[in-house]
Amino acid sequence: MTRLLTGLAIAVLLVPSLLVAHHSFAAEFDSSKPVTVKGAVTKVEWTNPHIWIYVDQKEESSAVVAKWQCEMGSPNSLMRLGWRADSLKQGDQVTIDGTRAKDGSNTCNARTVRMADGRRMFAGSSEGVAPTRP
Amino acid sequence: MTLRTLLGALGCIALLTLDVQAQWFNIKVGDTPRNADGTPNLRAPAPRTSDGKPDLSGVWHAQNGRFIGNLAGAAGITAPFQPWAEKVYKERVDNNGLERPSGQCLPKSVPDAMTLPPYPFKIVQTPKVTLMLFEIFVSYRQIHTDGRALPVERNPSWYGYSVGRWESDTFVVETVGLTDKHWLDDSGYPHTEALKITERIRRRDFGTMEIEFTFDDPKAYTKLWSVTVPFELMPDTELLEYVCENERDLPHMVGK
Repeated sequence: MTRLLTGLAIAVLLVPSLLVAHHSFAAEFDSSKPVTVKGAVTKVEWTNPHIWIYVDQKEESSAVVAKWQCEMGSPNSLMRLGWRADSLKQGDQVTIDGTRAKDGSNTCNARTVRMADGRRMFAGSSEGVAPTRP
Repeated sequence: MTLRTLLGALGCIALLTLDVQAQWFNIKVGDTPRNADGTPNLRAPAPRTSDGKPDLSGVWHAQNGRFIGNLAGAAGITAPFQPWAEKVYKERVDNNGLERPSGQCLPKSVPDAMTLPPYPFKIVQTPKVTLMLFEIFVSYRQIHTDGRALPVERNPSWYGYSVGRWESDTFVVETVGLTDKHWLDDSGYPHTEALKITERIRRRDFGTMEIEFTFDDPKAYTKLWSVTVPFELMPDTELLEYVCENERDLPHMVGK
């Protein structure tokens, strides 16, 4: 229990500081375009500067599959929060809440990833740190 | 961040914390002073080297992300821009930081490799040189304390040339020769190759350090300006490798 509480305390300290990426969030993603992507994970790239997860989303009432790619935080940041390379696997059913890319491609910045068993995981989105004027 | 997001994060941690003991995330490092329950005593006095100087060694990160987001704004000041530098800065902000060097996996430096909270840096202090090892992009800088002068001929580089000296308990570092490709923060404060940065570093106690950065670049700013950034020790952990090996954002970057 002590370990659990320590982990929670660390999480509270670290979560706000995760909101920084190597690139500008606002130059790539449109904060006015929230998106939810639901489907099966086809690939996970557990590499810096960002973890990328690839998801096949079946469109309703059709056999069409939309292929999505969503970035999370860096492995370093998420490993310090307790994530591991095998936390997400090919075949996992996930629901990703995030922000869509400005270029209109099926690309998103993941804010949270919900697992089929109901777990809701913070994904280390970099939203909210766009440069501001002094 | 919404409360819902935070709660989601905490839920995730609750499920995954049992694995935290693995690797080098949680190891007992060096001579860390400890409380009765074994936790690091971060309020203990700053350690000293055998020659009596404060020892800055340890794994550190910025206390918050405000200074990487807007270096001058976080300090509550307006940078005293030369007109051209203000124009460049506004263009960078208006373009949402599209050209930020680190977006292309180019290095961060002084102070932006230090003010980036998710990525700590490690100070290794020795009598003749103090090293800063940066997690971001697996990079380093050397601060020479062997009495050498700053070089007269300077090939501009990402980390420049640094010398340090002690003034009482304050480590004073002067850095020159930084390339003008570098931005001072993520919002895009520019500088020229004439920039000289002076850092006044004080370890206040075992767990906290503060650095006053002073920027002297008459070609880009009409007068000196300074910010003081608080840092926290990350006890009982180690740096992780961060090689920018899988950059996939650039093709989607559009700017405004």
